[in-house]
Amino acid sequence: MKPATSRRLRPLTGSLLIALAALLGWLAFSKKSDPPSLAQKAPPVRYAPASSPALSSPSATSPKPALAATLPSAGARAALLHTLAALRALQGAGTITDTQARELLDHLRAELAAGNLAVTVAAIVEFLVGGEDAATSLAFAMEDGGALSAAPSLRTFLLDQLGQLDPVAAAGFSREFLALPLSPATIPDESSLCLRNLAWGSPGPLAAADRILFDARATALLQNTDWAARPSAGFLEGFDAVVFSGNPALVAPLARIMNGAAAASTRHAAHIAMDRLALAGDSAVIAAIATEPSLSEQPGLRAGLLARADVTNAAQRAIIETYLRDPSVGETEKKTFIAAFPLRSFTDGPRLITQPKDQEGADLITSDRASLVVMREWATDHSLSPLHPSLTATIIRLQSMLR
Amino acid sequence: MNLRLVARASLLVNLAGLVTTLQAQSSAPIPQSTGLSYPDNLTGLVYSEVGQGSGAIVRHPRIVLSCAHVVFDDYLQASASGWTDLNDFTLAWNGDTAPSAENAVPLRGYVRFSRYAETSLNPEKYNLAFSEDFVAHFSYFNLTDNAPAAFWQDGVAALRSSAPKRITGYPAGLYNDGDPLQYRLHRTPDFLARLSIDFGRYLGAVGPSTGSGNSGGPAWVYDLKNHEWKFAGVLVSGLEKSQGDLDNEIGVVGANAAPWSLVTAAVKASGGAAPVTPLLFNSTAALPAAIPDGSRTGVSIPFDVSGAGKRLTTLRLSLSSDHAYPSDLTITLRAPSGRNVVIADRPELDYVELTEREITGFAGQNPNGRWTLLVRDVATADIGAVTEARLTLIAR
Repeated sequence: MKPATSRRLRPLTGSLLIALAALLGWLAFSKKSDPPSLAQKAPPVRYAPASSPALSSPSATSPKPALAATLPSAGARAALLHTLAALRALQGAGTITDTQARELLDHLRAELAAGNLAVTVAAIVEFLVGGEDAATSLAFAMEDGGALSAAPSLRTFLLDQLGQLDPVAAAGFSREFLALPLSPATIPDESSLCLRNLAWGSPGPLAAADRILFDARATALLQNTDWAARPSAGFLEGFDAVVFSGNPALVAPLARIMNGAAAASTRHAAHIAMDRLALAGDSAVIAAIATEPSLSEQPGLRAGLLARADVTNAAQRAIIETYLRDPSVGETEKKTFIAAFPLRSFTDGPRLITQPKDQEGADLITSDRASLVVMREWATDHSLSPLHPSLTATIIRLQSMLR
Repeated sequence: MNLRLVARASLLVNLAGLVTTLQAQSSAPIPQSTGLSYPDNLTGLVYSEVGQGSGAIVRHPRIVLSCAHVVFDDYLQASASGWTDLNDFTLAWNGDTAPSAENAVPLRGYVRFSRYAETSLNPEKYNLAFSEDFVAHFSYFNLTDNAPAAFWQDGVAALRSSAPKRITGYPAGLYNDGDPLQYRLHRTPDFLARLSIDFGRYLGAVGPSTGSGNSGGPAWVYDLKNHEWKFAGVLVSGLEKSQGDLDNEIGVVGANAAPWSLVTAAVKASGGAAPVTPLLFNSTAALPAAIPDGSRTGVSIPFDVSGAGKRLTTLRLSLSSDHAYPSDLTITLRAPSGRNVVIADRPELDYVELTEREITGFAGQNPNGRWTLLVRDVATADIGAVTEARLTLIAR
């Protein structure tokens, strides 16, 4: 088999180059008297990846035909600029309504979908790099599958569209965006959408470099006290990145938010993320939950999270047995764990990145029966004797559920 | 008094034999001597660690619908565990005492709606968490030998209509502790008021009342066409004059697509889901279809999907190509919504032969409409064609 990379650039790089070529081409050949350049862009510049070679310098090998083919069309580019101007005018007049904003964005969506994909993508990337924006007055809201049903700004709308129209190009743009350090100018909603787009750009699991980038930004999201104190909806939905990552190292910062002084809505999002992380059932995550010191201050919550453990897995069974025998864990907490174990309740609802995994009755029943066997062993284990009455009650209850 | 309503009420009595009530009235106990009939007999008492509420068996004999605040202990409360999993259900209880353990069935678990950002919305607009205050319990066995209650696909629309309505349940808050009536099944008189206080799925009406404690009580709306009561939502709030409130009022979360997705998930978790037959759609393009060499335009392979459910759960793709050098290819699938998912990006393969490969990224979308598989050969020299393409999908 011939090596795929030996013949030409990877398409991802190609997409960025095409977008760059389109932008540079437009800057070079536009008849307008004052074409903006990235370096001269007037503030507010919300995304100016000056460090990116791909976006800061023209490539000597940029293919001319691609440049000609992907100059932003009058349709896509004009529609973008028209929408920007219309939103700004309505915002300036203080009269914008949700209906007006939706109509403008619906029209723009149709314009973008109608054009050549490569040209549309180039126009969107050009706009995003340019740093212009206008608020829409709409909430950050999603539908099932993670696509936005409402976007709070033109840029978030375009990031969403880019992710839907060309996931590879969107992932490329997201790499550039996420590689930049967080600054006060970084918009958390955009950060969340770039995390989503990076995930969407991979047909399978993230490549190692992308995984590092993704986890780094997910960690930064959890550590940003300004965002946590004044959370936007897009920031909160970004907690799904923690679930997508599944990295046990994120348990500690998540727990600190849950138990800290962040806004109530931020703590709520952290709880949801922690629960979904536990439900995913990774042994390293269960171990991290069991040993996270700050969770010992929320014993009821820790008991509920550990009640997700799969004790047919030897590693998780060992974690739970250590927890039940740990004299530093209060008896009330242990009884709470036993009453909830094995926890089968779960949440549904739209998520930005992950998809809820169906809970299949046949699997749950099999797992319940296996858990019952383990609980009967615990009920005869002398080291757990203070818990035997609770164990017996739960065994009887579980038996009746499985009748 | 609204004369139009009077005329309509008379008509209803004539057509359906219903007793309609135009005056605001509160729930009252159903006499024990009369027995319980449909749909009252599918209502039951829900006990959880959080408190007492009501519920009903709807859509599937293993499912109990109630409202989330009856069973969910908010994460943000002190010493909360978040989940409580000791929820019991007693169907059609109409006694003078609390049901005994023998009368109660432990429910295996429940599904509730959640959003990371659910508590951040502007409460002056409406409280999303409250409007999603709906929970679907599941059991591993049937909770009744009777058929589950019929339901409105769009309960919100039914509640907004002028059709007859009724709410059943256990308004324990009307009574002092120990009063035998708190364990009796109650129902409102049938009423015609539209639930016109409108916060999306959370709807309200002034006039009827259940009193407090009835959270999770089913709201039934009469189907004038098929002559039967159908479940349309759950009671979540209300005011009661006899308890010192200014007026009588009810607040109900209507059941439509979002709550029904909870129910569907709960049915699946119960192991009681009906077998699902995947739907197969072959491409409408003539195959084999040549892939233009060195072209970013590529070849588009359309699939016209119709007759499927509105929420995609599973999508599989079968694809074959005789292209001599698959590493030249990029393959993207576009949904009717316009969303694209990359299937392969210049794969390091010797040949393209995908068989029922599961494609993620489209879950939850409406699958009906035109799907397009875009196959591009982004290099020159080697050529080939798409020889077979098929979509298999499951939607609910």
